[in-house]
This record gives sequence, structure tokens and C-alpha cells, in this order.
Amino acid sequence: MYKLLIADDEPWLRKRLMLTIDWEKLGISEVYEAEDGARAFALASAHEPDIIITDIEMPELSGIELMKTLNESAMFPQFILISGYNEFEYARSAVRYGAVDYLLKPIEEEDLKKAVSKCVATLEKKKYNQQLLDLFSSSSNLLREKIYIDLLLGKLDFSKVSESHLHELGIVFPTSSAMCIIAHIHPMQHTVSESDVEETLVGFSVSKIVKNQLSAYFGEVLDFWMDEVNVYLVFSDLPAEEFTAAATNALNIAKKQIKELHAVRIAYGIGSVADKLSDLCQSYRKARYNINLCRSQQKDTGISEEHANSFQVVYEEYNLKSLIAAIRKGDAEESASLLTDLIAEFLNQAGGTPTALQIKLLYLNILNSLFKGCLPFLPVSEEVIKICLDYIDQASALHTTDKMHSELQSLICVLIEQYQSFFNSKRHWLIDKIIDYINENYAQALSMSDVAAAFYLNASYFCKLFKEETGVTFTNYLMRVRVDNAKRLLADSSMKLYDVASAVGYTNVQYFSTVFKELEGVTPSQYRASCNSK
Amino acid sequence: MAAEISTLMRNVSEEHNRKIIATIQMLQTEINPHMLYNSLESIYSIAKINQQEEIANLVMALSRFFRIALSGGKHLVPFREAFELAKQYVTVQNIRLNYKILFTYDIPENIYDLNVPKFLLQPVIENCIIHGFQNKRGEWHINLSVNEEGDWVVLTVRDNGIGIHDSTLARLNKRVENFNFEDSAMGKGYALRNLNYQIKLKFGEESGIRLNSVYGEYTEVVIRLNLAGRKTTRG
Repeated sequence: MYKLLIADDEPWLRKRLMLTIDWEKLGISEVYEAEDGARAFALASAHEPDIIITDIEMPELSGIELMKTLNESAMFPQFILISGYNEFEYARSAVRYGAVDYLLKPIEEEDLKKAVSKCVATLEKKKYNQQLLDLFSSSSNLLREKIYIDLLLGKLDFSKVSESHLHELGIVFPTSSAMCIIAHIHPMQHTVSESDVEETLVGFSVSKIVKNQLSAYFGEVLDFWMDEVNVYLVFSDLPAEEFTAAATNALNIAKKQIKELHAVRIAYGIGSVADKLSDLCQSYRKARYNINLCRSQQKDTGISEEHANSFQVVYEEYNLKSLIAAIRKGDAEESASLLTDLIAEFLNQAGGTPTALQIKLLYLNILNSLFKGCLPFLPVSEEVIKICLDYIDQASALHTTDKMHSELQSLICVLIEQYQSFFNSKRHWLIDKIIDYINENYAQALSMSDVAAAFYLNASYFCKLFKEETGVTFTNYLMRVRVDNAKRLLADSSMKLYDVASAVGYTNVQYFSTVFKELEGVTPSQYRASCNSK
Repeated sequence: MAAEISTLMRNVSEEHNRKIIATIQMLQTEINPHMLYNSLESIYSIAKINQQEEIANLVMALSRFFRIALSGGKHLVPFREAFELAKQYVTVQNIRLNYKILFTYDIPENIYDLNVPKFLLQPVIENCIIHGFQNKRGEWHINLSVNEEGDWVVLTVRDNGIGIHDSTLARLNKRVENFNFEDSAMGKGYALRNLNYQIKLKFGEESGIRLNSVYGEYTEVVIRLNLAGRKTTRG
């Protein structure tokens, strides 16, 4: 449905058009009327009509001036010009400003309807073309995104698809090289957010800031959501080293903005510079590697080549943070090796023979950091606090680095144990909701993709998550729920077998019996018989 | 002496003729076309709002008639306009006469672009309606047929009216033939005489108008245009 404006200083004409024409039938839902050109312009600006029927001779603003002014305001409605007098000059101007028709007064009803229908047909065609265009560009964008993801994952077989094929599809570096970047909220920050919605919103905002900052440096930025992280692709003609440096700058600015805005930290991984499409998967792997490194090291930046250059930095910013991260992960081996490295570094800095005071200070410092870094994230019992205090008492009796090493090692073991027991008891926050959902809906046909969709999860991710968290596959779990409920119904009532089957979500009785036998070792009928005999 | 009188008479006549032309031109320019058509638009709109279709149709036909009739300056127009003028004239009269007239026509496609005097058909049809039928009962049939015969285009307007007595017919044809300023009082038959004069002016001496009739059966006006005799001057 379209909007139409009638502009004419003849009141009877306006009244007639308003009253006697079945506008709805012509595809017009709203009709406005103006008694002069200035009013017509105001109404047109406010309502943006699709069609304007205007007199040429009007007070304030003539019909031709109205067309011109609207065109200058970037409004291009369909114009039908009406005039009392046929003048060639008028007609010529009207055509110049895109009039569809030029009608002479008195305006015959049929002529007007024909002209309006012509406008509507033009508008429909325009709309259709726009829809086609949108559809085409969105489908080609989807295809492009899919191909880029395949390129990043190294899934595209270059023995079958040549680079020039991809170029034809618009998949081509606008510059000489490209680089893959991964950035997201630092994993340790996830525990901070209070609600899922908030987390999602912050996530959106973070990816937007990162993208904006990258495009400030590199222009066009492509971004993809893959493997649960935001992946960005930037393009540049800079030499590799400068390219990497520019990306680091952009990400550091983004990081700062994000910290100020959301009080969260982001981690990022910068990939290698790719000179051709087939190198993209390497860039992605490198970015992935760097961000993993950064996660495990509790650093924000993921450039593996970067080395800290003083003991102070190593001690405060590097090893201790990654040690805490390793403890939180429950990784005994990694934390042991990091502790060894740390002490070796300390010995090296101290020239091989640290004083007892230096040892005690380092010991207390490390204790302090470990307690601060680990205890707040645990439901700490009194017992654990007592153990921790014992370690502080040990400080006065410390004289050698070996002793310090073994004390710290045993503390780390205690902490890891605490973390492990805590995390093993804690399920993924969604799992309880998913299980509730299954318990409520098992009576209906329920596929894995239905449930995944209900929680906005990717089906394969859902499958993996469910198996990891519950120890059984979704299908097996659902069978279990259904069979358990069926057992209840079989024991408690005299329901017919096919009613029981359908009550627990099986439309096929035969299949239900097979599943039941599989899980229970007996058929449903045998089970019922055994219940009744009790 | 006789020649002097004749010259004097011609001068007087030409003076008279100029006066008529001036009057027409004054009428054409004095009427503000916007005022006229806006008024007609108002009448049409009021009629439409009050669902008076007859009034609406009459005003519409009248407007279209004026649109061509009053389009200043152009004496020669494409045949389609001259025909449209005649058609709208019939429509106006038909509404007035409660659809008594049946107007039929047969025109070859290529004729429509031929340049002809604007008032080629309308005065002929006006004659039919005003003189041809009197108060004849039943349907008034007017037929226009156009035929091409070599260099000639022949237009025949025939009515099924009361017809003309032979003696009257001869007199009428003579008057139409012998158009001169001495006789050009705006009385009976002036329109056809004037038209005949104009046709000869544009299409040469051989072209012209002739009336045929069988009393009590029909009257027909035959307009013969010699395309080979066309004058190149326009207007």
C-alpha cells in the first residue's frame, strides 16, 4: 500500500478526489491534501508520499517548483501533473522532473485512475527490483562468508578451486596482503558477568569496538563468528612487520576503550600475514595459537615473539600470572614446570646465591599472589584457610630455595585439588536448563536440533557439550527419560501400550518396545506383568 | 465606376471580415483559460460528488470541445484533432438531446495525421443536427466515411434526416460554391460557405464541398480534398 498527496488550490477538486475515488482499490492506503505548494511541501516532507498529484498553478509554490524542491531534498515520488491549460513549457519541465503523467482539467476520473495505476505499477516494480537486489546481495554475502570461513579453516581444496575462481566471486584481497585476528573477552572475565544477557550485550559491544578500531586502521574489515570466537580479517599493503605493529596498535586502543567502557579485559591473537587466499588458514592457525598462548599466560596480547626483558616484569607480569592460570585450570604438570622456571629465573637474577631474606621475601610475595589470584574464586572452607596460614608460618623457617620450591609445590597441589573438586562438581550453567527442557518436552517429538535451537546453540556444539557434561549422548539421555516415564505409567495404570508409547513421545509402538527392551532387558508387557505380580 | 464601386465594396467587406476576426481573437484571448477550465473542473467535481453523472459527462465533453476549439492560433491541425472536436461536439449535443444521435464513422488509419482545417467536420455535423433532422422522430443517424481515391481524400457526412428539395439543394450548392465577401453576411449557410472557401485556399480550386440529398431520405455533405493541390503556406 502506498501514500498519496493531492496538491491543488481548487477545493472542489480536492473534495471530489478525496470522496469519490476508491483509493484502497488502487493500492493507496493514505491520502493527504494540500491547498497550496508550501503546504504540499511540508506534508510531503512529513509523510514522504509515494505519489503526488499536483496542480501546476498554485499559490506560494508552483507544481514545478514543488517537484524541483522535493527532488533537491532527495525525495523522488511519482508525480502526476494537472493543469487548467495545456502549455508546452509546463509539460517539458514536468517531464524533466520525472512526471509520470500530465492531465488537463477537468480531470476525467478514468484518466486519473489510469495515471495512478501506472504510478503504482512503477512503484511495485521498483520494490520488486529492490527485493531482488537485496536477496541477491544477501545471498552472495552469505556465500562469501561461507567461503571465507572455509578458507580460514583450510577446508577449501585448492586442487579443485583456483584463486581466480574465488576472485570472480568477489573473494579477493583489496590490498597485497591480509591478516587474521581473533579477539574476545578474556576468559577469566567470564566469571565476572552477572547475567547471560549482559554478557551477550557486552560481547556485541566488544566486537563492535574491535571492528571499528581495526577499520580505522585498515579500512574494510570482515568479521566472522566461528568456533565460538570473533574472527576479523584485515587488509593492508604494509610490509609484514608494520602490518603487525599497526594491528597491535589498533587492538591496544580497542582494549583500552573496552576496559574503560565495560571494565572487562579482552584477549587477542594476531595471525601471520597472508599474501594469498590459500595462506589465510595459516594466518588463522597462528592467531588461534597466539590467543591460546595469551589465555594460558594470562596476558592480554597474543604475540608469541614478544619477550619480557627484566626480572621484575617476568616475575610480576608473566610467570606468576600464568602460574595462577595453570592452577585454576587444574593443570598440575604445567604449574610445576612454571614454578621451576620461576625459581630458576629468580636464582639467575640473584646471581645464583640469594640471601635467606630474598628467599623469604620471594616466598611471601608468591604466597600473596597465589592466595589473591586463587582463593577469591573458590568456596573456601575454614580448613583450607588454616592450611594457607600454615604456609605463611613456614616463611620464618625458610633458608634455601629448594625448601621454598617444595613448600610452594605442595601449596600448588593443595590449590589445584581445591579447584578440581570445585570444578568437577560444577556443571555448565546451561545443562540444568537443558535437562529441565527435556523433562518437560519428552512427550513430544524432540530432535537434537530442536533442543539446540531452543537454546540458540549450534547443533554439533550442543551435542559435544551435552556429552561432556552428562556423560551420555543426547539421544541416549532422551531414551532414558522416556523409558523411565514409561515404566511409571506401565506400573501405575492400565493404559494401553500404544497410549503409553505416545505419552512418552514415541509414535511407533514397535520402536518404543525395542528401545524399552534395549534399556530394561525386558519388553514393556513383561515389565507390566512383573509389576502386577508384586 | 463599376470597378470603383466593386473596390469600395471589397474594402468594406474586408473591413467587416477583419472586424469579425478581431472579435474572435479578442474572445479567444480575453477568456482566461485557467479560469474557464478551473470553473469547468469545479462543476465536474460538484457533479461527481453529488453523483450527477449526466452533468459530469456533459461538462467533460464541453471541456474537451473547448480545449480544441479555443486552442488559439492554429488553423491547420492533424485530422485526429478536427475529428475529436466533431466527436466532442456530438457528445455535447447528444446529452442535450437525450442520446438521440447515433454517430458512426469509418476512417482509414493513415488519415489521422493529415493536416486539415480545425473546423473541417464540426460545422458540417452542426448543420446536420440543426437543419438536417428538424423534429424527426426516431434515431438520428450520422455517418462519417473517409475514402482515399488516388490524390484525393473524400469525406462524406451523411444523415438519415428529412432531406432537401431539389430546388433548394441547387440553390444551396450554388451559394456554397460562390463564396464572396459581398454575400458573406453571417446568415444561413455561412459556415459551409466559409469552410468551402478555406478548403479551396488550402487544397486548391478543385477541392471543395458539395451537398447531395434525396428528400425525405438523406442529406450528405461531400468534402473533396486534393492532396496534390495543397498549398505549402501554413496557418
